[in-house]
Amino acid sequence: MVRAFSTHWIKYIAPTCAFLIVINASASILVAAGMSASSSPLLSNTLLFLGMILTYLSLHWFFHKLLSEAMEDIVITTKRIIWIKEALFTVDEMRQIPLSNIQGVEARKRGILQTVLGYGTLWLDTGGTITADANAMIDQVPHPNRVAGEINKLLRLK
Amino acid sequence: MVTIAFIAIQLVSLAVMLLFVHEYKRISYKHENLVHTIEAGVKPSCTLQSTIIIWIYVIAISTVAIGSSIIYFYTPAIS
Repeated sequence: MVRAFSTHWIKYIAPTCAFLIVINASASILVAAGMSASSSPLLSNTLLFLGMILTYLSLHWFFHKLLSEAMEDIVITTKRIIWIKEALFTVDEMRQIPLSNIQGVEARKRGILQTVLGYGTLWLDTGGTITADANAMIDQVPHPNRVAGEINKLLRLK
Repeated sequence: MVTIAFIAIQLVSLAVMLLFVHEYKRISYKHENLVHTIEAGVKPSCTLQSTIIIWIYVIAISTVAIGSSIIYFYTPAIS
């Protein structure tokens, strides 16, 4: 094996922001439930249940998203490139591209965010694929130029 | 009736958590097996990340379950 790595941590940012917004809303509902406990027990009960359900829903959604995003692995060996993508109960994908099929590698970083944070897209030319072909593209690869360099080194050795 | 609904929500939440942890274990074992067939003794990089996430998940759900139970059962006006 030459290298095994996961995709870039940027994948966690969007779900984390959404989660923080929802969890703040549910925390506010729980605080309101606590404040209204003595004056209006019925309202307090309703708010407690609402806040609790929202908290649980957001927690389960957030961790499902995080675990699903974390289950992505890219393995580069001297014979093939393996890309595994799985999400809890929803996605189960594995792609293997033998090095003998690869004619070229293209690393792409687009925009300020990708350039500053050092991630991008890796496109593997297997002959007949186009640059927009999702089957030949791996997104959110950390340091794609470095990875492309390693694959090129392996292609020279084959 | 309200107490039963409260306990039911807690149990459903715990069941969902256990289901997710079980599924995570299955996928993690599958990834490890795959990487072991390529090279023995090497762990896939996603395993460490996922282990940390799963522990935070268990702690967060347990904290909410314990916290909400304390609020519900020990606040006289609510319970």
